[in-house]
Amino acid sequence: MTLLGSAWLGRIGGLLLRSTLETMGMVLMSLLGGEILGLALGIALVLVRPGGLKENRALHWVLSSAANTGRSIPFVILMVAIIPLTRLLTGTSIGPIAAVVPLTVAAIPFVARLTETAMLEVEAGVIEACLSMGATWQQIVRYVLVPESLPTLIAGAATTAVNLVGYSTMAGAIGGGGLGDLAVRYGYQRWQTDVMLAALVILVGMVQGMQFIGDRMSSKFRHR
Amino acid sequence: MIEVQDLSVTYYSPLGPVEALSNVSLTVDEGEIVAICGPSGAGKTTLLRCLSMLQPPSSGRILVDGEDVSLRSSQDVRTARQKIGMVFQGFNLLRSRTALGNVMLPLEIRRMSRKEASEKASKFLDLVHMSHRKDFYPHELSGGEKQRVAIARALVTEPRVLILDEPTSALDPETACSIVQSLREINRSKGITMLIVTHQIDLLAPICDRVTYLREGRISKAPAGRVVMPGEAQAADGGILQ
Repeated sequence: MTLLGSAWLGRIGGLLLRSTLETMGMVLMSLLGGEILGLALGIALVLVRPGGLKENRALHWVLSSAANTGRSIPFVILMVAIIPLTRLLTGTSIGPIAAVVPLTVAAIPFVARLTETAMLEVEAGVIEACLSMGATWQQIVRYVLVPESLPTLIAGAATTAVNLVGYSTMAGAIGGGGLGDLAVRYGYQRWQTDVMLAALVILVGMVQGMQFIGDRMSSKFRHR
Repeated sequence: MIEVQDLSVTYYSPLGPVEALSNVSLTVDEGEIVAICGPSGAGKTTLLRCLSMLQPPSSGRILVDGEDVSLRSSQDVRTARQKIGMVFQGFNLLRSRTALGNVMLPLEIRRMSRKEASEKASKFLDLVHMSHRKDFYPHELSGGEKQRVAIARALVTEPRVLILDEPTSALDPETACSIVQSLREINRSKGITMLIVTHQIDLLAPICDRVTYLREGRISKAPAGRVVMPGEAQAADGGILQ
């Protein structure tokens, strides 16, 4: 490595590392929260839909509308709109920890719809076979819906993670921390395009890595 | 063992009501193998779905071991379903589970431990000559092998009744014959009552005690109870040819 390169890395390396870790932290925490709550909402949508195992049209309308509303609000507006909730949960509205709240809220309806789509692809005959064995709806979810749709759910999680990387950079642009914050502060406000490019390269690498891991895991569970 | 009394099923379509089954009555004694045959749309699958309580009838009764299963709470239906094993036309195996895992499923639903379920499932895979393929996934099995796994899965809870929907229709002739022989062996060794829907009556008639013909939602015979016996053929107008 050249002397200049070492000096550059010495100057910026610490910043890049911290920002990368902040972004990864934001993405992973919101992915976890979004997957847990989104999976629950998605399963509910499948169960209560017309023709579902626990059909309830009124409840389905409410849940479906909530998911649609959540997905239709642009992320930057969502971030600002739920500042009171963010403050309630984290005590602040700035920084990477605070940014996890709107990121999770944004992820939930997205994951819910991916879950619903994945589970509706499960063969109706297989569900019927389990019903004929005397399975309860809880057992159908546990033994059929989740395992049979697992490869698609994992692929969906990878897609969600990639989306969250993008959202986290938006969050960074308005005080959320992470690589987005770094890119805006140094790249845009201080005209240090080398920092912005470095942040961009790391983001691309992060997305590639997440997608690769998601594809490999999805293949591992795909038996067909 | 199984008694169907004046069973009717009516579907409501945009074009009006469709009578899938009309006053069907049928009795199957313990240990019997009874085939139900008829043209497509005759109501055979609807009848099977009513017997396995996947489809509620519009009217009539179904008695299994003297118990009326046609109008019950969901808990009672689940309990009653566990007395009946069902083999579906399309096998309906779980892709995410191996052959052994598929056969273990009904036992896990009954909350048996995995160890016990695995041991019991292995025995039933052996019964259908599939022990050597127990760790294979459905996509790695042939049609005949999938059917054997489906039969083992239906038998593993030791039901009193086995209901089979077109068990040989998706198979080549040689494999179909092999499956038919396996069903005969299982009936003889375990004494399980079997109700088989088929349009391949020539293949199944040799192992059946009786054959019932269904057409346009009705038992096709003149007054109540006459059946088409093995050796007889059915005329186009529903009469019996010698």
